[in-house]
Amino acid sequence: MMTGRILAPKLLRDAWGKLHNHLHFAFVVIVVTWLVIIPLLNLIVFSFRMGHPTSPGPWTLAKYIGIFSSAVLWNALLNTGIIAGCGTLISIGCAAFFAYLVERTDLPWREMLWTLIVLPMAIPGILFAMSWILLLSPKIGLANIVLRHAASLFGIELSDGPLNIYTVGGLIFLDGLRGVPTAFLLIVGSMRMMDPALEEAAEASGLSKSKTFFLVTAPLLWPAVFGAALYSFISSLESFEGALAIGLPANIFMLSTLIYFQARMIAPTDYGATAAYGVIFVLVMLGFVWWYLKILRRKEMFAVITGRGFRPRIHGLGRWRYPIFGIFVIYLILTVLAPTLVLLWASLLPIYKVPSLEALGRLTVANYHALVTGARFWPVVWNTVVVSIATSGITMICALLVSWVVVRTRLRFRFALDGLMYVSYAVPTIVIALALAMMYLQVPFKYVPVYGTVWIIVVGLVVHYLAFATRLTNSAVIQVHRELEEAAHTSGIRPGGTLLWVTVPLIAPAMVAGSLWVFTHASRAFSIPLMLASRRNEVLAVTMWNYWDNGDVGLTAALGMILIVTLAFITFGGRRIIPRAFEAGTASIKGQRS
Amino acid sequence: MIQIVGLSKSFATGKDVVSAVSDVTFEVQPGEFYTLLGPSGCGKTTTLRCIAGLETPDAGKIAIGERTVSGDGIFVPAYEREIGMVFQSYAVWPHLTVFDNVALPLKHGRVGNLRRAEINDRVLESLRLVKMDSLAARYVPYLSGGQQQRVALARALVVRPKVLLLDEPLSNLDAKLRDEMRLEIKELVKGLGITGLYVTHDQVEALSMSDRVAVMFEGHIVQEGVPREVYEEPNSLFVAQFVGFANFLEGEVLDPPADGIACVATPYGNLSCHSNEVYGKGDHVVVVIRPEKLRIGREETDPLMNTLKGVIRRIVFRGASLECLVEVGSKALQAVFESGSAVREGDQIELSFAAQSCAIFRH
Ligand SMILES: Nc1ncnc2c1ncn2[C@@H]1O[C@H](COP(=O)(O)OP(=O)(O)O)[C@@H](O)[C@H]1O
Ligand SMILES: [Mg+2]
Repeated sequence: MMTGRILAPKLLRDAWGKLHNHLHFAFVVIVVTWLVIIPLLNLIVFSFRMGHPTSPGPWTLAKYIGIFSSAVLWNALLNTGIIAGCGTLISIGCAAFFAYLVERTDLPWREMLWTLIVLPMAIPGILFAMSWILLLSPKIGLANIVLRHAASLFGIELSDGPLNIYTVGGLIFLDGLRGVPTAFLLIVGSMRMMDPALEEAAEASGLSKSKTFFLVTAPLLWPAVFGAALYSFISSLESFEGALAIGLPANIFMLSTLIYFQARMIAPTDYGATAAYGVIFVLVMLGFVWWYLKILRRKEMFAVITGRGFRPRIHGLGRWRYPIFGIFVIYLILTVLAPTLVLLWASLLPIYKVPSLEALGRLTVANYHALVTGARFWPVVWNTVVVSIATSGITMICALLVSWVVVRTRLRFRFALDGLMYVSYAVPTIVIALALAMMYLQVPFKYVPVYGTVWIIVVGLVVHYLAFATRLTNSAVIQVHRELEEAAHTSGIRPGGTLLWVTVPLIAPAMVAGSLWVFTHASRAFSIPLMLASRRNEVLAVTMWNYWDNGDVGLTAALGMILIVTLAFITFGGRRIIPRAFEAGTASIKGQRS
Repeated sequence: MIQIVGLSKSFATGKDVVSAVSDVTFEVQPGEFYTLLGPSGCGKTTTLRCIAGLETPDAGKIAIGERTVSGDGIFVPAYEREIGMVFQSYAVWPHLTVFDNVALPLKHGRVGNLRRAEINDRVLESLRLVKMDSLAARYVPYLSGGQQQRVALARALVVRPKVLLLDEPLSNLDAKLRDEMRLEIKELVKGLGITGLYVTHDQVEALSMSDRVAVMFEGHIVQEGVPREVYEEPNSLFVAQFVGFANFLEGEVLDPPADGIACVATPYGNLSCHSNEVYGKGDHVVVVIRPEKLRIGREETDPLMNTLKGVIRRIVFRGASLECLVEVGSKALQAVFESGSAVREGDQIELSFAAQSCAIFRH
């Protein structure tokens, strides 16, 4: 009896100890399975079934046969390819040109130009598309009206146009502009780090300046430029906002809007077919992501970036030095000034009107007032805050745990885990949302009460940002010398305690930066919240879209302005916190003498 | 206190497998200061990490105290072994102060459930041992290398381990500091009555600090013994070469050993050499002579005395001794004489040494 009483707690304690030691592995496996594997597998499985997720029907290949034999898919694929392809050409052309000007010429005010080039990132994609509709729609578009006035001076009278945003060309134009900042950031580094000796060697062997550029400089930069182009193309492939606001009214379907249309705009939804579209979309994306990763790996071997940190040779612009600024002014007008000003204008009018002296007299803050005092506003703000905070917190915690397993353990499945993060990067946002919606309609997952709440949005956003966040935490954890953790183990501290008291404090700067990044992106995320929207879980971006859809341009614009200004403050504040946090962190990790 | 039987560990690097430690067996007595000595890459760190529980051995058994911690289907993780460890890189936590570095194992470690005052006392006591109590509030990145090493030591001792593992703790310090810390560490560990397992590639450290030394080479222990034994009676050419300085003369066995003495023909004359091994006539061997065993002049009294004729090429004055380079035929031998010896560069001299003070090994 005695032994029995002593034995039982000891057995329990041992079992608990064993479980406790492997808790974080178990947690990682469960989380990743739950977040990524089950939704995707479920999507694939369902694309072969008839019926509704709540009551799946028999197995079938009919969905795929139907899709591949109708023109809809091919049409959407073609549109997506053309828009993403041409848009990427514009983005990369501008970005490479800007990067060269900023880093390799004697253009003044480089710091300011840097900020200016990435500034458009502050405007959410859906607002950017809406503002360009206000500028370039054939009848009421502000830019069109100005152009028509100009034309009438030459005796040409037009009733509408001359430009029309509701075309493939319009979508290409927007996609091209949107892509510039990211492409610039991806290219500018290798532009800066280029070893001047490589070019000097060419000129010393008798090549002319232009030959040097085409035979040495350009080929050396090509891997970086091509990598950036592919990245940009992948983002354009899955882009949704422009395709929704402009493409759908014009009957131009892209892959993302095709899925949205199938899932949310026709009733009853054919879930099997929608799932099949989703699977096809993922496969297309996977192909390009795989290609991109191959290029990344090759780029690392390329010796252009020496990291020796010298200033490359500067190309004198001579008398073009100031005129060339005109290009940046035009860029600023197209990407920031015109869109925000037209939104500001629209937000100050009860009923949208083209600017005129008469309209100027009617400006009012009534829209803002109506918004803030309306019953809908504060719940939506609350939802947005909850979604943003929960997403950033959960994403960073999951990313840290995944990185810890990938970087620190020798478990065999760690490579699979890392690979899975890339797969999740290849899943378009719209498909993530689709897969989650279908999963939480189904037994047994429907007993988890998240369908229709903000939490299903949080899950979707976590899946979407996890890939990026693990890149960040991977490199942070790698920076922490392994022996710092082992010293904790040999001091008797368990893995959980080690993570909490040693690893996390050491990588805190990266965690702060990462959560801020996720927070600002989650707070304006659009496609996932829209696809999963119900009346209870609306977030700001979705509300904005609903106003727009109802024709309430004023309310849309006012809400948009509030969003832009708030985000600008957070980003600006973050800009000042993040570098400082980074400095402190790296100093504390590297400050250790050896 | 530490018992290791048949320990093996290999690593997969890409396609091939590197065997880091193979079939290592040794035992460290309670309170002993035991050293693993060997060149870089011979598997010392891997052995130590297996004992600490930071690597999982492929085969073999490890016991600490009475408890099997590895082998027989058991694997006790690092944080449950009653050890303290000092890493080569110090591995002090840069986000914490000196005090907090030492306190962390008490707050969150195996010990558990200590009152704040008790933690305070034990941390300060530990810091006092390593003379770091005056810098308790300083963040560790602002310490010198030697001071960081002391913090690492205090952190390892604060949990009152049965066994202290030290992985080349002095290799990152400058020479002067190293001499000081050598003594200090040994006295500290001995004073606390802890069993110490020390790893180093520096034979001076190994010989001066240890109760016993194990010399490792390519994952094996090649010789084990008290420092004097390892130095004076190396059991292989490798040990003779690695531990201390030695002169090597190649030759051929003329008379196989009888009564522990063999006669070896070398280009510099026939030499009588001590040997316990069995050699056949004509075997190629190397005669090993320590520099301090060489004497000036002929001593006729002993029939087993060998002599070599040479010219002094260089003399380095070392205070208590003279270090001479003596050219014997085509060979340059190192010899150490008392500093009173009347020798000058260019002198023709005769060197003598006893058969008992040299050894032969198969070539
Ligand atoms: N984690 C590891 N992965 C692959 N090889 C390793 C690893 N750790 C040690 N080795 C190899 O094992 C051998 C022994 O290493 P180590 O024990 O560190 O030697 P020492 O401490 O004596 O210098 C070396 O050849 C080393 O390259
Ligand atoms: Mg080592």
